[in-house]
Amino acid sequence: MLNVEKIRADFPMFSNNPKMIYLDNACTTFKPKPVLQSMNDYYEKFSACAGRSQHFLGKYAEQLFEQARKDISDFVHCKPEEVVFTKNCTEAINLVANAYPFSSSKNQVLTTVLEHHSMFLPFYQQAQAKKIELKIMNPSQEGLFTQTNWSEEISEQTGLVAIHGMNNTLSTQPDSEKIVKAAHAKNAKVLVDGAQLIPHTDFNFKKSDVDFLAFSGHKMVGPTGIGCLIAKKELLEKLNPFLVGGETIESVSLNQVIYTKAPHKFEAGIQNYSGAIGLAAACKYLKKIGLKNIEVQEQNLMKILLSETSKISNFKLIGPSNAAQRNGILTFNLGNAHPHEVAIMLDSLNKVCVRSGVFCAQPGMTFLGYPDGAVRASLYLYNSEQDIQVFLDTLKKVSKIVS
Amino acid sequence: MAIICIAAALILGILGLFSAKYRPLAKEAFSCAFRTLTLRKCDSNLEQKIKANITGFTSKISPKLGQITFKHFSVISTIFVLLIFASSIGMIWGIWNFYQYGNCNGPESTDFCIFDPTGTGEQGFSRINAQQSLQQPLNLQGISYGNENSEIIVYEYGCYLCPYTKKAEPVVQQLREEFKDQVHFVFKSFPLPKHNQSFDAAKASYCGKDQNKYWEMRELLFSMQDSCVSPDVNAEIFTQMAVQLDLNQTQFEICMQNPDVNTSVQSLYDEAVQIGVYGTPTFFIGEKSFVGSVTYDQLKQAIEAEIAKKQNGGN
Repeated sequence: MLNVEKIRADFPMFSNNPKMIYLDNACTTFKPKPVLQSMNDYYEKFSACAGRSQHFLGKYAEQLFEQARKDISDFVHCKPEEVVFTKNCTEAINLVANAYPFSSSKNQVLTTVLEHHSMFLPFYQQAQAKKIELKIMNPSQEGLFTQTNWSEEISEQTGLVAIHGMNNTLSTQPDSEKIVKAAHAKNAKVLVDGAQLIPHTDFNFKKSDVDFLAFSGHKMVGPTGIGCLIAKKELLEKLNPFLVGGETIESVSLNQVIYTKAPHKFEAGIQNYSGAIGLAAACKYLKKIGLKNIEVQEQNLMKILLSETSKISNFKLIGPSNAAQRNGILTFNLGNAHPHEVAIMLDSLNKVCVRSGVFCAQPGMTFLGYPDGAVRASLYLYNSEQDIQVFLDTLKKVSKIVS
Repeated sequence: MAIICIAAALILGILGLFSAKYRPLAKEAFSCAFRTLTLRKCDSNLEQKIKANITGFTSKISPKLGQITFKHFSVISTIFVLLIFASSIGMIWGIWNFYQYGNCNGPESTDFCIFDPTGTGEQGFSRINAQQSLQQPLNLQGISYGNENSEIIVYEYGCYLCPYTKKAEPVVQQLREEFKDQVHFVFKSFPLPKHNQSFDAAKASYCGKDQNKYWEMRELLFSMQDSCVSPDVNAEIFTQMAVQLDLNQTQFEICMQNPDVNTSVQSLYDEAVQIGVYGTPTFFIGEKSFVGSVTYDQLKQAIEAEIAKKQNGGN
């Protein structure tokens, strides 16, 4: 069991907002003191350009920036040179969508209707430009892919399978092992949107054999404005340059540009050094607490949530009702009330912060039968049973109001 | 339910004029209101947000009240919008009245008016014509009092049956007392046709003066103003006043029938119209003019400025 009280003491947001119940972690998470301190240190002690300046500050900044890359690689179990810094998960996915060298015979991208817009739109745009063909898979009405035969769906024409590691609406996880095997059998690559997966599970990039993995810092107690693309080294070298500029080149003449090696080839311009250092600090923080422990804690809370909400008469759960099939996200509606109405009343009555809307996944919500959206309560390591109790009590009050 | 957006647009639009904080919300509300008025669905979910915020607020007071608010929000918001429209119409009407009559409550009202900086409702005037630029009085005809040899002349155009002239009377009396040795006061009756019996009231003041009881008649006319303007009243009321003031009734009645008195009152009226007087009371002090029942301090200040000007030998 996690010592939630001790963990909460690390997060200044709780002392600054003592009566708040924060259940919007799928959107963004709070930052612990070590993360904030590490970012501040960059600005206060070694604020300089990495990889360029030869003075001691520049060297020190470079050392810490590369150490951040190493810490992150340790966290996701990959090589440091397989870590590309981006500004967020969205940029990492856009990098793959724009830089992946699709051949004419393998230009199909297989994705699902449940993807976040940040996954769906980069490939949709490529398809609109006729650069790829987009194949969209549907899950069951519960949002599960358990019945999907990936070997059948992935064809010889499939160049890339672009799929979420953990769904941002339902916290369900498609079987990545099966998908990777089926894709690799057809010489297709796999891109996993790890925005929700990496913060909540002990993911091993090397062991998973996934080809590309994208995630954001801010959803895993790290800073905003930093994310990563993790890619197998040999694939990174094959990707075309996406954003170009300073630091991405070996040499430039008026006639020829020779790009440098990955990962720096994809890191154009001055980087978000404090963000990278902060993300590394977040990885260390989560590692110290233990991703397994976090997962168990969320599972336990989810069991309480599913059990208690099933007693609310007008509560409509979206997605599977079995706690084992979902992680830390509870998505629902209350009777015919608009999701925004429920979310605002939760906030207004007891400062319970949840998300409402279509969660940047409009096609998925429409497919599931909720074009007007839903309410989403999402958990993380600092959520306690007491939080859940307050949420449930308030939800019951709102339920009565809207009934 | 989207009707609430219209109310929100009005309220947030006004708040947005004073605070930038409300402008994005006002913009959202305007967009929503426009879509509602053009029979399209509001696409910003503003109505849900407003409904939830109001329900959240009322739920804190009482869960039952929250339930009622949520359930009947459409009805509540419609009533609310209608009230806002009604009050907006009232406000526009008040502004129009203030422009037309100097009082937001309409012609002849002396009730409290929020646009009146004095907060007394005394700044109104009884309008007769459209507002125009005023010219100086043409002559000294009228009721003269104070120092008739003084070069400092205060003209008052007033109607005995105008509530604003009545309101100004204590100020006039105070000035009369204070500046009787320094100022020549001239009261020019300007009987407004919209006040029943106003012409005869002006004549009655002349006939009172004829028997050396002008001030008594003037005071009585003001005090009986409400009775005089009644549509059921005729000139008989002035004879009753004459009796009340112990005037010679026969002499008073002859005076009231005297064509010369009639001509005098008419010529004063014509002069007022000629110089552009559009409401009563109107005061002229030197080059300054004041329309409406201005305060004692304002008139005193203007008189003292004139006295100072004369003492310094200037114009």
